[in-house]
Amino acid sequence: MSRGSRELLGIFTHLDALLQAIHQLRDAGYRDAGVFSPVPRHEVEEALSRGPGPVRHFTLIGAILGATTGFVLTIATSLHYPLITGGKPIVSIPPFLVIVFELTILFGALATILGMLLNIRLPRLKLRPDYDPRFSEDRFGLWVRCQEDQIEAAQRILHSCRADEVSMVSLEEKRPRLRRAGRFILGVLVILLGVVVALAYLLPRLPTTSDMARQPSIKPQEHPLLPPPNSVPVQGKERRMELLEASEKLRNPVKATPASVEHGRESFQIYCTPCHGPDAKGKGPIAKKLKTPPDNLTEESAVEQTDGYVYTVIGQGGTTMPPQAEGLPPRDRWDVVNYLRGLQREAGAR
Amino acid sequence: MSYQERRGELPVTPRLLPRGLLRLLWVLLGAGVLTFLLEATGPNRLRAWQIFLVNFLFWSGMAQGGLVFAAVYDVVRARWGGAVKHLAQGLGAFLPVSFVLFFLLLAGRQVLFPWVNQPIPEKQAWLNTPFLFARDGIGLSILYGLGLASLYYSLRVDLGRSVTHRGDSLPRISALFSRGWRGLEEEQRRSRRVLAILLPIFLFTYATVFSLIGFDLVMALDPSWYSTLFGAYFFVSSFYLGLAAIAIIAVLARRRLGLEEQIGRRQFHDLGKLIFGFCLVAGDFFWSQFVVIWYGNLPEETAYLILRGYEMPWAPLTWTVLLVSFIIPFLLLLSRRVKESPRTLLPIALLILIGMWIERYILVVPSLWHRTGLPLGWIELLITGGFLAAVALSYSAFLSAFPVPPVSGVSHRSAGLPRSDEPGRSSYTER
Repeated sequence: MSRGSRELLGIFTHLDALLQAIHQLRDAGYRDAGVFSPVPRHEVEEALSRGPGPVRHFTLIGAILGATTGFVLTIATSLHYPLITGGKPIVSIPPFLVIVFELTILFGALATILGMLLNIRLPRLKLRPDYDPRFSEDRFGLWVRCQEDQIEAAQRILHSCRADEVSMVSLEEKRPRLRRAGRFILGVLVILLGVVVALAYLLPRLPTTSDMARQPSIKPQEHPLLPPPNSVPVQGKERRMELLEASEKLRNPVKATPASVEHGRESFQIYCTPCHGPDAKGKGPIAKKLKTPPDNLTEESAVEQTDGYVYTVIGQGGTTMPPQAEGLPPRDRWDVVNYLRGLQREAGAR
Repeated sequence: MSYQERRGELPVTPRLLPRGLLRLLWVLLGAGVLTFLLEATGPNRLRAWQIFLVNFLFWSGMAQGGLVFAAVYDVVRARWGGAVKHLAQGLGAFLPVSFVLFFLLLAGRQVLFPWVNQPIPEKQAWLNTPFLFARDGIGLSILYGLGLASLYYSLRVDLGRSVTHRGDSLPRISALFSRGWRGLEEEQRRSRRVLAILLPIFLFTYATVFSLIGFDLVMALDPSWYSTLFGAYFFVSSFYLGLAAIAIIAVLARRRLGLEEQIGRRQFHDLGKLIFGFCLVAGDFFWSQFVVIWYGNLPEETAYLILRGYEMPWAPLTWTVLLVSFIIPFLLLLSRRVKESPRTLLPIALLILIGMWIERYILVVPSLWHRTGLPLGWIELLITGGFLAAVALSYSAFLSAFPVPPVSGVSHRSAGLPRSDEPGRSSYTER
C-alpha cells in the first residue's frame, strides 16, 4: 500500500449487489480490494479472482522436505548403526517407505498450516480499523484502496451498486510494539528450530559401535570391580592391593585344617605345579621354557612372607606370574596358602 | 402442467453415441460373444475362460464403482457435481448383465477353479462349487439389488425434475419410474428418506460382497496362497478404476451432451482429487499386503509375488501396472492444472484404466496359465472388446432412458453475472 492511498468501505446487504460492485470496481481498474463476509461464498472468491492461493506451494515443499527427511533419517540411522534385522539388507526400502510416507504427510500438513497462518497474517492481535461487527452477522463489507484522485469514482460505483453505506477509513495504523516483539520472538524461534533441524543429522552420528568386543562388561583375565575399601574378601569381588599393604593388613581367615590343606593341595596341583612344580621348588614342566624362572617357594625369601602377601600374589600375579583370581576364588587361595605352608615346612625339615 | 401430461411433446436430448459407433459396438459385441462361444469348449478353452473372468471382474468392478461413487456422493450430501453423479450412475446399467455373466462362470468352473478337480482337503468346506456359487450369488443379488433400488429412488426424482423443469421427453422405460407419481416435493422427501437408509447399507454391502468376490474369484485361483487384506484391496481398487471410468465418461459426455455448464473446471478438479486420493489408497492397500509378505518372507506367501514380479512373461506387465496405474498418475495429478483440464485428465484416466485392466489380468492369469508364452492375442482382444461393447451399449441405453437432469442437488449460483465465457465456470441456474 502506497503512502497516498486511502481506503473506502462499502457495506452491503445482498450478495448480488456485492458481486456487482466487485466486478465494476475490477473493470474500473481497482486491484487492491477485499471482502468481509459472515459466510464463505465461492462467488466472492471467484469475483475477486485472486487465483489459486500460494499455500499449496508450502504444502508441496513441506511434503517433499518430509519425504527427503524420511529417507535421510531411515537410511542414515541404519547405516550408522548397522544391525542386520530379520535377514534383510541394512538399507531396505519397503519398511522405510512407511516412515517416509508418515513424514511426508506430517511435514506437508504442518507446512500447510504454517503457510496458511503466514498468508492470512494470523495471529492478528488487533482488529483491522475497517472491521465492523456486522460483518460477523448479516452484512458484507467491501473495502477498496485507492489513490486520492480515484476516491470519487470508486464512491460512485459503490453507491450505484446499492451499497447500504459507504465510508472512508483512516488507515493510520501504528504497528503496536507488542506485535513487532512478537514477530521478533517468532523469528528467533524459527531460526532456532531451523538450526536444530539442520543439526539433527548429527544425531545418528553419536558414537555407537557394532563391535561386540567394545562393551562395558568384564573381559576375560580382567580384574572385576573394586570391593569397598578396607574390607578383606573371603568370597566375591576384591580389590587390587599393594603387596606391602596386603602383607600388613591381610590375616589368614582360614584355619589350616586337614580339609583345607587337602583342598589346597588339589588347587595347587592344578594351578601352581605347571610352573612351580609339585614340591614348589620352581621346577615345573613349563619352567624350562620361561625366560625368568619361577620362584622356588621353599626358599627363605618366600617362607618369610606373610600369608596375606602370598595370598595376594596368587590372586594378582607377580612379575611374570599371571593372576590366578579367575580360577581360584579367595577361599581356595587361602587353602593354597595353607597347603604351601605345609610344603615349606616339609622342605625346611629336610 | 403435470408430470404425465408433459410426456412425449418436447425435444429429444442428444444421444451419447452416434449411430455409426453404436453399430460398431453391436458388431464388437457379436464378435466377442462368438469368439467366446467358439473357444470356450475348444483347445483354447482356458484362454477364453480366464480372459472372461478378467473382464468380468474388471467391468463389474467398474460398474459397481460408478454406483458406489453416486452413493458416496449422496451419503456425504455432496453438491459439487450432480451431472457427474448421474453419469456415474449410468455405469450401474451393466449390473444386470454382470449378474447373468457371474452364473456363466458355473459352466467354466472345471477350467477356471483348480480346486474343483483337485480339492484341498483343509479348505474343502469353503471351496466347493455349491457353497461358493450360492454365497457369491446371494451376495451379488443383495448388492446389485440394493444398487438398483438406490438407483431407482434417485432416478425417479431426477427424472421427474427433468420433466417438470426442463420438459424432457420420456422414453418407454421410464413409465416404471413415473408410476404412482405424487408430485416432486413429496417424491423428493420420500426418496431422501429411503436413500438415507438404503445407501449406507449399500456401501457396507459393497465392501463385504466385493471382498468376498476378491477372495473367491481371484485369491482362490491359487488355492495355496492367501492374504487377509486381499478382499479390501480388491474393492478399493475397483472403486479406483470406477473413478477413472467416471472421469473418462465425464470428459466425453460433456461435449457430446452439452454439459459444459454443469461439468467444468471445478468438477474436473474434484474428480481429479478423488482419483489422486484413491490412487494413494489403492496403492496403500497393495503396499500393506506387500510389506507383510516381504517381511515374513514365507515361501507360501512370496511365491505369488515372485511369480508375478520376477518371472517371465509376467514381470514386465506387473511393473507396468505399478508405473501406469500408481506412480505416473500420482506424480501427474499433483498438479492442480492437470486435474482441472479435461484434456489432461482424460489421458491419465485412460492410462489408469488400462493399467487396472492389466492388473486384473495379472491377478488372474498367472495362477491358471502354466504353459509357455503370454496368453494375450486375438481371443483375448475380441472377448475384451465384447465386454467393452456390452458396457458401452448398456451405458448408452441408460443415458437415452435417463437423460442428465438439469440440476441434481442445489448448487451455488455463480453470481448471476454475465462475466466471462470460460468453460470451467460452474454456474448452474435453476431453469
